[in-house]
Amino acid sequence: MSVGYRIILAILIWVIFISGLHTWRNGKLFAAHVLKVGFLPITCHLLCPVTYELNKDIPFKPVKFTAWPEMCEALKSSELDMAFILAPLAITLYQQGFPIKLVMLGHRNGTGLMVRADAPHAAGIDWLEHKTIAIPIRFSNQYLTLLDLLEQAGIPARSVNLVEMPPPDMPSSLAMGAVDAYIVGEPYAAAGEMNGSGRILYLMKDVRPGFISSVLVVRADVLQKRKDEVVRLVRAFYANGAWIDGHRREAAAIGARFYGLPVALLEHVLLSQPDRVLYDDLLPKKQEIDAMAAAMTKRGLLKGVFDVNGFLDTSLVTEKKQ
Amino acid sequence: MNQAIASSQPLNKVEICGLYKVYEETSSVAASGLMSDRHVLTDLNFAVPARSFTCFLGPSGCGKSTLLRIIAGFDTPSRGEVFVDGEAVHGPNPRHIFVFQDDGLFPWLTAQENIELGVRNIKDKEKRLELVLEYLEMVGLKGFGDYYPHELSGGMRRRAEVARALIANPDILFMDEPFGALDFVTRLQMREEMLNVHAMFPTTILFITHDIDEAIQLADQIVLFTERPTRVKEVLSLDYPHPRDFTKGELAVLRRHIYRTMGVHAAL
Amino acid sequence: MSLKGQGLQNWFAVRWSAFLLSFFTMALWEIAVRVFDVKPEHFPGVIQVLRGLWELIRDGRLLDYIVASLFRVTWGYLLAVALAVPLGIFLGTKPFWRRAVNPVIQFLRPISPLAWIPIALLWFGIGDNPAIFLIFLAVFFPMVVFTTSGVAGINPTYLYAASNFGITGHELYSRVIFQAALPEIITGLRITLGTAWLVIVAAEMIAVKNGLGYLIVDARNSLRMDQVIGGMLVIGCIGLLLDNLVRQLERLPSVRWKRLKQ
Repeated sequence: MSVGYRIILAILIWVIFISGLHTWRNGKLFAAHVLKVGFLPITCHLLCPVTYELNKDIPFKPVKFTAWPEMCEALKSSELDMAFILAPLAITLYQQGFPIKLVMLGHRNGTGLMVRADAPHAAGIDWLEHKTIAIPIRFSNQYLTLLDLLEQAGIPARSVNLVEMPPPDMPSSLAMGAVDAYIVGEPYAAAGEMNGSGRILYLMKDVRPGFISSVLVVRADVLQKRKDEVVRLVRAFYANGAWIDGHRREAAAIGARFYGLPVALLEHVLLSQPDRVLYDDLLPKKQEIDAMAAAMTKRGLLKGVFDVNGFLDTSLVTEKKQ
Repeated sequence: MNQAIASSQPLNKVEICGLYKVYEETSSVAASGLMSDRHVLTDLNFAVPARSFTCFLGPSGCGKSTLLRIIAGFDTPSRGEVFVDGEAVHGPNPRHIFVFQDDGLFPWLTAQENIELGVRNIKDKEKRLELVLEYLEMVGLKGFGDYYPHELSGGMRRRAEVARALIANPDILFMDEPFGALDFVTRLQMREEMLNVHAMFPTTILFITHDIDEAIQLADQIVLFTERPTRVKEVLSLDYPHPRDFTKGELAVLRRHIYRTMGVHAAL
Repeated sequence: MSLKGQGLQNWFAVRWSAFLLSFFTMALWEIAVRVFDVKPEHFPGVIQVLRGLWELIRDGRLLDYIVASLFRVTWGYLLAVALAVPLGIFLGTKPFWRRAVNPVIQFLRPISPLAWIPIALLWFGIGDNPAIFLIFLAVFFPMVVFTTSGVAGINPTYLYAASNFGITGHELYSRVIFQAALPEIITGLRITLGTAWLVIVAAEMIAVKNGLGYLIVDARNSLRMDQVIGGMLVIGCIGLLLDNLVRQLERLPSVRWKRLKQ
């Protein structure tokens, strides 16, 4: 029996030890009552780490995610107050009755359509017919725009094979020949470009100037209860858009540190062509969001009447008071 | 033998009166009409004298174990009653100790801890230990107290279990083929030791065996059973001194008689 | 005595050959990567992996992640065991309840804990709790089944002997039933700890912001294959350690009898 007691005692000591260690090492993650903002390590969400770095006076907690569904769940279960999220995904959440407000954009352009490195150089959009193309997720403007581009070239959607794939897997899948092309937000287009597994077919800046990928949403209840905090943070985000445009090298360094990505990759995205990603003009127009909703309805992603006025609220930035 | 006679003989420790055991229809085999298989014990009547060494002898599967379990209170009869000291049996009794066919020692306790179970009621720890060591030594397990059953030989395990039973100072000792799994020589040794034990502790022993020679060497009384449905065929009294040589004299005659009764005619 | 010495020698021989074998495997790996000129994005060599791991050790993240994973496994596992063993003993001793409850458990058991991920996120949000919940599920149902079958399969002789010596009530449960079922319970403990460690890595890939599973996903997103493989090595090593730890329980003298009997 004494062996039994010794085992129980050992277990007890272990539980106390590991719990203490966990609270000490990792506890800070769940502590402070500050606004929590979800983001993914993509350039479309670069404002989040940049603001965290530049505006130390504004307390908020950037929470890094690796996939969209969990971010949605975290937003729904009140673990997050705000989030950088794919625009069509945000529209879907809103249409499902989850009260959120779109307050600004993450950035513009910043998406590339990549094809295999061995694709013919004369290849255009029609080369994609009967090919396998990776998309990040159906609820993305990348998907909608791809279908749109194919349609314009007279290629019916059913004559391409579309697969949903986490962006980090796309460059290697392209290199291995598992897919023939992919459309994705930066820096995963640039990643394929830089490691030689693919080349750019189109950048959105050339075919869809002003392309919207992700937007910043705020939970309506948080906006109501903590309006001052939210407004202050959103304005900082907005202001930092202009800062990034003027300090692209510094912004790339910050992004590389937060995302754990090579600096060269982010510098390539931010510096190679000035309009590859844009951080100005971050307030979307009503027509843009309406057009996106219409495209989603057309593709069967959206049901019912979409009320853009209840969803889009750029007044946090534009309103003069405060 | 009926109840009136039984109660007029106070020397009897155990009395079995009109005992039946019928297994209820639980299996499909039973339901298919094999009536005789369901009747295990049929109208058993006999008595066991106090302090006697009584052997239950009968073919394998004849229901001896069931009967022993009923007497010990682990099982209930379908009809009839069992009296111990004139009182009907209702459930197990710490004064009626059972030594099991397979290992009844708790394998997660050492030999010493197992034997200690027999004196659970003694509160004084030192007195308890003293007693346990004494019994360990008595059954020849001195120095093996800290061994677990699986570290002991078959014979040592049986001795430990007998010690566990004896230390409880039982009124009745039930032994269900306790030496069945032992090799031949060890079995002979154990028989000898059982006789010594019974001489030292003259308690009532009910001992199941299907080994005729074992019964002849050990028993003061042998109860012979038939095959199923089991009845008592004969109750034999053996008033002979130990050690017994069953190859000569009256015992040899008795042995032949038992062999014949059990259907073996070429008794050796 | 000599037998014991031989055993020790044997132990050293086994350990030594295991060490040599893993060393050769690693050397072969490094050579293969160099000879075939495999791109580090596809499969990095050992040296690069170790360097990636060292980076994680130096900035303290590896320790933090190990602590986080072990914390979640500890709580999920212990909570599940603490509930499953008593429930299993109850079901094992009460045939009526066993027949009533068993279909439910048998129905829930084959559902992979990973299938519960959406519900875990919905109920517990992000953080430690959903991961602990998933571990709990991964351990609870098998543990109930192991304990129930262990208790239901107790040799009735032990129960007779117990009642013979007047062992009843809670003493019957703690000194006889629990002890008799213990070998099977410990087998369950070992198997479910392995499952828990499998599940924690998967659970951390989605529900949390730290832990070894998160390390894998995060390293992948950062295009750091060296740290992905480094993380896998760490997960494997800790899994091995945990298994060895529970194996010690099987060596307890009061537990070993079952294995010797079979």
